[in-house]
Amino acid sequence: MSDFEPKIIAFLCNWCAYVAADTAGIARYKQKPNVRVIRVLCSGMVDPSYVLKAFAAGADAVLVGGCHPGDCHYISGNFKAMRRAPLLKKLLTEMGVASGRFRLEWIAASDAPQYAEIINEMCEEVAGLGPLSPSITE
Amino acid sequence: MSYSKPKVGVYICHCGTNIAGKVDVVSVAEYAGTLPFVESANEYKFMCSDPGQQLLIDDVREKGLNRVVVASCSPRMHEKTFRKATQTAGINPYFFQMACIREHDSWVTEDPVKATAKAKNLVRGAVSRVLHHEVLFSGVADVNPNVLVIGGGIAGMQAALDIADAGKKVYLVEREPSLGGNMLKFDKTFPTLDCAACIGTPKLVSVGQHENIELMSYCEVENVEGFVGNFEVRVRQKARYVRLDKCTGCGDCVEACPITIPSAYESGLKTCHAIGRNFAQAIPSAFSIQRMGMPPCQAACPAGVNAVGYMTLTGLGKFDEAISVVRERMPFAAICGRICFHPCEDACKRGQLDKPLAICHTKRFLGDLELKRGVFTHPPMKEPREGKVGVVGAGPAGLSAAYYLALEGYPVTIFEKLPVAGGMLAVGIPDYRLPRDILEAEIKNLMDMGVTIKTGVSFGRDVTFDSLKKEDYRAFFIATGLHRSLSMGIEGEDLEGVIGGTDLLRSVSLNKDASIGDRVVIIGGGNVAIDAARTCLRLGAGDVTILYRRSQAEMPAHDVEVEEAEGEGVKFTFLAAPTRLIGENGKLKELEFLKMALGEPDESGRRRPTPVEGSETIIEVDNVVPAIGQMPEAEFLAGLGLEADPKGRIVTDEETLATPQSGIFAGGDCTLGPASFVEAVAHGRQAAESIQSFLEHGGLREVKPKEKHLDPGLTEEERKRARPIQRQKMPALAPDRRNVNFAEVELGFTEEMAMAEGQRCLNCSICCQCGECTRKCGPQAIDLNDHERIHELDVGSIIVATGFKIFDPTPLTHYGFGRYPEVYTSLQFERLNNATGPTEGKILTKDGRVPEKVAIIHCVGSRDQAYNKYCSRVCCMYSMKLAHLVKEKAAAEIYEFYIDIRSPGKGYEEFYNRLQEEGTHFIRGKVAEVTDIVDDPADNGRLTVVAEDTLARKIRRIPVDMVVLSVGLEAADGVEDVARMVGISLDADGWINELHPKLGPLATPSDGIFIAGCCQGPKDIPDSVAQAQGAAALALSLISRGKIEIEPTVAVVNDRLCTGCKTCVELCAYSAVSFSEEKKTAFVNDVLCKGCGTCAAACPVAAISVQHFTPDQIFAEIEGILT
Amino acid sequence: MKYGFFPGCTYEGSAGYKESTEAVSQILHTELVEIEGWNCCGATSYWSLEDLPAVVLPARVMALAEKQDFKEVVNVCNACYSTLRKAQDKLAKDERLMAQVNEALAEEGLSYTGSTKIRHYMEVLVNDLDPDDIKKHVKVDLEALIVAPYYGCQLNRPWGDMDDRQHPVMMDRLIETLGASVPTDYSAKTLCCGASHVMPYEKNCLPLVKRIVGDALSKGARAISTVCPLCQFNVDASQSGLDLPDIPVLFFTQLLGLAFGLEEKDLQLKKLLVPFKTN
Repeated sequence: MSDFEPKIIAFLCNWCAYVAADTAGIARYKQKPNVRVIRVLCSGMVDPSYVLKAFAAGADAVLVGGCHPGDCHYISGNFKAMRRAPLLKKLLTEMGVASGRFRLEWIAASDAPQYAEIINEMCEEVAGLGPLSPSITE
Repeated sequence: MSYSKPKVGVYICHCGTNIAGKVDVVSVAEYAGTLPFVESANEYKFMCSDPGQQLLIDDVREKGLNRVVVASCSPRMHEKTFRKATQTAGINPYFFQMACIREHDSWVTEDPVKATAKAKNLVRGAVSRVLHHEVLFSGVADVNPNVLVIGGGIAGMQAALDIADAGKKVYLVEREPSLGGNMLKFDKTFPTLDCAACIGTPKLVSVGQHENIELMSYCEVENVEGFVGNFEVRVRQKARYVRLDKCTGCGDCVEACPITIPSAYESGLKTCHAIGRNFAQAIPSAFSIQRMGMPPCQAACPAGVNAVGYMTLTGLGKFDEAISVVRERMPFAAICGRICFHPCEDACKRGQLDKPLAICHTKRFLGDLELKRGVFTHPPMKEPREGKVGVVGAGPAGLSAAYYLALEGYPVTIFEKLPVAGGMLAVGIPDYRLPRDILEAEIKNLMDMGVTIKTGVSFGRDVTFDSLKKEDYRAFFIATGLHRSLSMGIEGEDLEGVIGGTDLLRSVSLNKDASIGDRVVIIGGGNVAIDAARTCLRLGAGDVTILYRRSQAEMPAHDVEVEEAEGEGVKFTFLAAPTRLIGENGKLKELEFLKMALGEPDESGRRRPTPVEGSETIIEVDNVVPAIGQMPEAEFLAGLGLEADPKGRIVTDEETLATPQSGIFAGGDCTLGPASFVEAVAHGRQAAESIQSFLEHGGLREVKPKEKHLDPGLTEEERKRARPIQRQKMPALAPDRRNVNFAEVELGFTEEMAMAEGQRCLNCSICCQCGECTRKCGPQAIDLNDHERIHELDVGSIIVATGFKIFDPTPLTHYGFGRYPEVYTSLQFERLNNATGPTEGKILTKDGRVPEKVAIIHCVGSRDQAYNKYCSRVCCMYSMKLAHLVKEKAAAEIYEFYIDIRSPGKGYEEFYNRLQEEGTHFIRGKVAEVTDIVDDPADNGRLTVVAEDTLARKIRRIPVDMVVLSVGLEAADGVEDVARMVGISLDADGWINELHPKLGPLATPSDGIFIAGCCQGPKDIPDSVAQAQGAAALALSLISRGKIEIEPTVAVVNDRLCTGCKTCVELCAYSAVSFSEEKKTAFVNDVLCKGCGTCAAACPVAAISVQHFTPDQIFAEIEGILT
Repeated sequence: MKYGFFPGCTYEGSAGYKESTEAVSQILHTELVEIEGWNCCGATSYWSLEDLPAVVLPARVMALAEKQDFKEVVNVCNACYSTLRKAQDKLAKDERLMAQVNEALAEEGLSYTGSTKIRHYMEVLVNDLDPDDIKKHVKVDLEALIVAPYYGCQLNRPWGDMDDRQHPVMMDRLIETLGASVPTDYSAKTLCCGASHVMPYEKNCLPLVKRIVGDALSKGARAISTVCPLCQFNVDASQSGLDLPDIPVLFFTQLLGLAFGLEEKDLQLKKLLVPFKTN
C-alpha cells in the first residue's frame, strides 16, 4: 500500500539523540514525514508502558534513541534501556507486534546523518509492514 | 496547586520563511484554535523577537490564560526564552510547552502538506501535554569559577589569558608536548607580514608564566561529566619521560639519542630524535620523549628484557652500555644467548619485512665479549641490608632470584643438592649447546656479587627451614626444578638398558659418560629427547632414532634443534608409540611399537594420536631412552610441608609466588612444570621482588602500571626506516664435525655482525630506552620509568579550541604530491620560509637550487565536489603571502592558479593589489595536472603545470622549479571525541556546530560549553583571536553570574504508592535514592538527583516519577500526537 | 573462463593485435567468444551531438551480448570500452532514453537491460588470473626489456573504478609478471594520443605524441606497450614526424606473446612501423 503513511513515535534522549535530530534539521537532512519526536531526559527514562501506550494509541512503530553505550549523560541510563529492550521486544512479539516496529538505537549528538538514515529506513520498513491493527496478529 | 479550568494560548512561529516557507502556519493556528481548552491561537513572524514575546505576554494577560504552547524551533534553542516570557506574563514558567516544528519538521520534510499535518500533530501533542503540567520552581547551584580550555593554539592561549587576567583559574590542556598549535609553524602572517613567532612567542611565555593558568601539556581530555557550572573532567597526562621541573632545556640529550625519525612538526622535511623539542622557544621549554609503547620483542620476552635497547646500542658499537641494558632484566647474557628459544625474534616486526633481528645471537655476543674481557656489568648494588634469604636449588630460577636480591643488598645463600651449580643448565643441557666454562663463568659472577652457593647440600636432610631460621634466615625461595623422568607405564621399563632422558643427560654432564650401545631409540618429542639423541650420537651410538607418537608438526621441540639433530644424523619415526620392551635375562633386546593416526584435537589443541590396530612392529635395540617429561620429587616437597597440585607442582600465588607458608616462596619448573630457561629467570626476578617487599613491609609489593604494548602491525614509516642489511648468519661447525665431540656447534658473532644486526632494528617503539640520554643529562631530568597519569579537574565551563589540520593532498594524484619531490603543501612551504625551519628560511629546492619559477595552486581540497565543498577562507591570502615571500627571498617568477581570489578583510584586497603590482602572475583556472614532462629540453628537471587559463581562453603549460599546493583546512583529528564528551554536535564537514550561526557563534547547545577558533570552521588569526576573547567573555559572565538555575526535573516518590521494594535504590547511578527505615519507603535526595528517570521507568508500581516528565504528561503527549 | 568478445572495427586491421590476442587468450584459457552480429560502437564522434544513435549503437552490441547470454563483454579498444560504459551509465539514468533505445532495438527483436558487465581484456588478465598462472607460461627472459606502459586517456576515465585515474598500475604489474621491467615514474601513462584528430589536426596532435614518446625515452624505456588500436597506431605512426629516436609500440598482447615465446605468425611484429628488435 503505497499511500499508507505510518505514524512513528520517537522517544529521544535530550543529550544525544534529540541533539542529533536538531542537527539533522540544521543540516537539512531530508526525512520522511512520519516521525513524531517526544523528548525525554534519558533513554533510561522510557518506561516500557510508554512504548505500549504509543502502540495502543495508534502508533505503527516506536523508536527509542539514546546515547552510545559509555556516553550516557547520566552515566548508565542507556544500559538500563538496553537491558529492558529485549524483554519489551519479546512482549511485543507475543502481543503480535512485528519486531521491526520497535527499535532501540544509539545516536550520538554528532550522528545527524545516521539519525536521518535511521528515520527514513525505519519509515520504509514500517510502511512495508502496513498499519498495525491489534486485532490481526502478524 | 493547579488552576480550576485550563486556558491554553498557542503561538505558531513563522521563523521568517524557515517554518512558514514549508508549513501553512495559518492553518496550523486555526487548527490549534479548535483544540480543547485552547482559548487563543496565533501565528507571528518571529515569536522569539521582542514584539513576538510581547504578543504572547499581552495575549495571556488580556485573555487570562494559564497555559502556553509555542510551536517554533527546537526547545534547546528557545525554551528558556519562552519560559521567561510565560513567567513575565504571570504564570508559572513550567505551565509552558514547546513544539519543535522547524528542526524536526519544516527543515526536513519535503512535502508542504505533510509538513503542515506533522506540525498540527506536534501542536496537538504539546497542548494535551501542557494541560497536565504542574507548578514547579527551579533550584539554583553555584558556578565553579574554574575554566577548562581544550587546545593550546592561538585561540586557546588567548582565551586562557583573558580569563586568567580576570583573576580566574584556567586549566589549559594541550595534547602536544608544547603550546602554539599551527600558528607558531608559520613564518609571516598576512596581510601585515609580521612574523608569527614575533607575535606568537610572547603569548607562549605569558601563558607559561601566568599564575592563574595551569598548563597541562602532552595531556588529553578523557572524560567529561556533570552540567553547566559543575563539570568533572578527567585528563590523561601522557608519559613525557622528562621532568618539567628539572629539565633545563640544554639539549645535551638530543646529541646522545641514537634514534632518528622524520620530524612530524617539520612535516617530514627534516629528521628529529626520539627525545626533542619542536622549536627552541617552545613552552614548556622542557624536552619530551616519543615512545609509542612497549615494542613486541620486549612484550614477548617472559623476562621483559629490553631488546630494542641493547640492539640499538650494539648497532652503535656501544657494547658496554648494551650489556648493562641486558643485565637490567637478565643476569646471564652468554647463557641466554645460547639456549633461549627467543620469542622476541618471533615477535620482531622486521620479520614482516625480511627476517627478524638475530636478537639472541647478539645477546650471546655481548655476553661472550664481556667474559672475554673478564669484567661483569650489572646495575649498581644497593647498600647491604638486614634479612638473610635462603634459596633452595641453584637452577636458573634460584640463581636469578639470588642475583636480584643481591642487587638490593640482601645476603643470599643458595643450597644445591647436586655437586655442581646451575641445575638443568649444568646437568640437562649438553655441553655442545652450553659449554661448561661459560656456565661456570656466569655463575661465578654472581658469587663475586656476594652470593654464597653451597653445593652437595640436600635441603630437608642436611639443612631444614627450622635449622636455617635459627641462623636467622628470614625468607626462602624454593626452586628445585624437575629432575625425575616420567615413566612410560609400559611393560619392561625396568630392564637394563632403559635409561631416563634427564638421567642420561645428567650422568653424561656429571661424569662425562654413560654406557650406550649402538642402536638407541629415544621416546618423546621434546627438547630433552633431541638433546638425548644428539648426546647419544656423541657417545658413539651408530643408529639413533627418535620415536614420537604425533607428527613433526606437533613436536614441542624447537625447529632449529630438530633440524640440527637431523643434520647430525638422528633418525625420526613419527606417529609411533612404544607398547612394550622385550628383554632377555634382564637385559633390553627389543622394542615393540604401534603405528598411530591423528584424531580429534585434545585440550592442548594438538590432534590426539590414536593407535592403528594390528600395526605392531618390533625392532632390535640396545638402549631405550624415555624422554616424555619430568616431575618433581613429590616426597621431598611433602617433607617440606609444601602443598602440591595433582601434577606434583608446588601451589603458589601467581602474582607473588608466595606459598601458603609465610616467608616461603617458590618458582621455576617446580611450580610451572617443564618451562623454559627465560621463564625461570623471570620467576626468579618476580620472587626477588616479592621477597623484598615481604622483608621490607611484610606484605604485597605495589603494582606498577604496565606500559601498553604497541601495535604489532608494520607501519609505512618503519618500512621506510629499515636499513638494507641482511640478517647475519651464525657461523657453525659443519655437521660432520659435530657429533664426534661435545665441542660447541655455534661459533658466535663477530663485532661487525653484531653491529650489523643492531642496525637492522626498526626502532618501532621510537624511544628504545637505551639510556644514552639519561647518562648525558646533567640535572637528571629524564625518567624512563615515567608512565601515564590521570588528573581529575572540577570546572564550571569549558572552552573548546581544538583548531584544524591541513588537507592531505596525496589522493589528488594529478598534483603529484609525494611523487615529485618539488611539490609541497603550503604548511611545508611555511616551514621552508621559517627561519627556524629545515633551511633556516632559505627558499631552496631539495637539491639546493634557488627556484626561478614557483607555481602556487589554490583550492587544493577546498571548493572541490570530490573532497571538501566549502571554501577554506585563508588559502587565497596565505598563498599570496607565500608568493610575496618567495619573490622577496628568491626573486622568482610566481604563478598563482586560482578559481576566485577571496580577499575580504581589513587590508586584504589591498594586499592582493600589491601582489599584482609586484608582478605575480595570476592565472584563473584549476590546474589539470603537474607533470615532469617538459616540452623544451632546456626545462629538463623542472615540473610542468598544466591548466586552462579561463581568461585567456587557452591551455597553459608552465615549467616551474617548485609547486606549492594551497591545501584547505579540516577539523583537527579527535574533535569528534571531544564533541562527544562535552555533548555537542559536528556539522556534515566535521566542524563543531555553534548554538546559532549568527547570534550564537561561540556558544553551543550544551550550556557552559563554548567554542573558539578553527574548531568551528576555517578562519584566519584575527577571527580566531576575536572568537577566543568572546568565548572568554562568555565563560567569565557565567562565572560572575555565580549561580545557575537547575531544572526542577528531579525524581519524587509517592509514599502512598511506594511498596519499599528498593528496586530504585539499586538502580540509581548517583545513589540519590535511599530507603527510609521508619517510613519503609524510598526517598530521593534532590541535590544528588540528576533526573535521568531510570528509577521511574523501573518502579513496578509507578510510585516514583520525574517532575515535568511524569507518565501522565508523556501519555498525554502521546495521545495528543496520535489521536 | 568464457567471455563475450567485442572486437570493434579497428581490431582486425591493427598491427598484430588480432593474432596475438587470439594466441595469448588460448594459452591463458580466457576464451573470447565473438558477439555475433556486432556493429561499430560509434566511437566518440556521436557523443558531442546529443544524438540517439550515439546510444543505440553501443546499446545494440550489449543487447546482442544479453541475447547470446554473456554476463560480461570484453573489449580490446579504449574507445569501445568507454563508449559502451558511457552508454550504460546514460541509459541507467534516463528512463525515457531507455524506452527510445529499446523501441529501436525491438525492430530486430533485441532488448537492452544493462545486465552485462563491460570490461577490457588487459584488466581481465590482471583481475581474473593469478599472476603465477601467467608466469607459468613465460618462456623467454625479458629481464633486459624496459617497457613504458601507456594506458591512454579513456580506459579508466571518468570512472576511476578499476585503478588510479592519473597513474594506473595494472599494466605495470602485468609487465613485471612477464619478467620485463617498467619505468616506475612514467608520467605520460594516461595522456591523450590525439585519437581521431590525428588526421584532420596533425599539427596539434604531434606534441601530444611527442610527450608520450619523449617521456618514455627519457625514463629509459626501450618499448611502449598499449591497450588500444588507435593509441598504438597514433604513437607508432606519428613518430616519423618527431625529431626523436624511434621506440617500438607494441600491443600488450604482443608483449605477452613475446614472453610466452610465440612465433612471428602469432605476433606479427613485422607489421609495426617502428620495428621491434628482440636483442
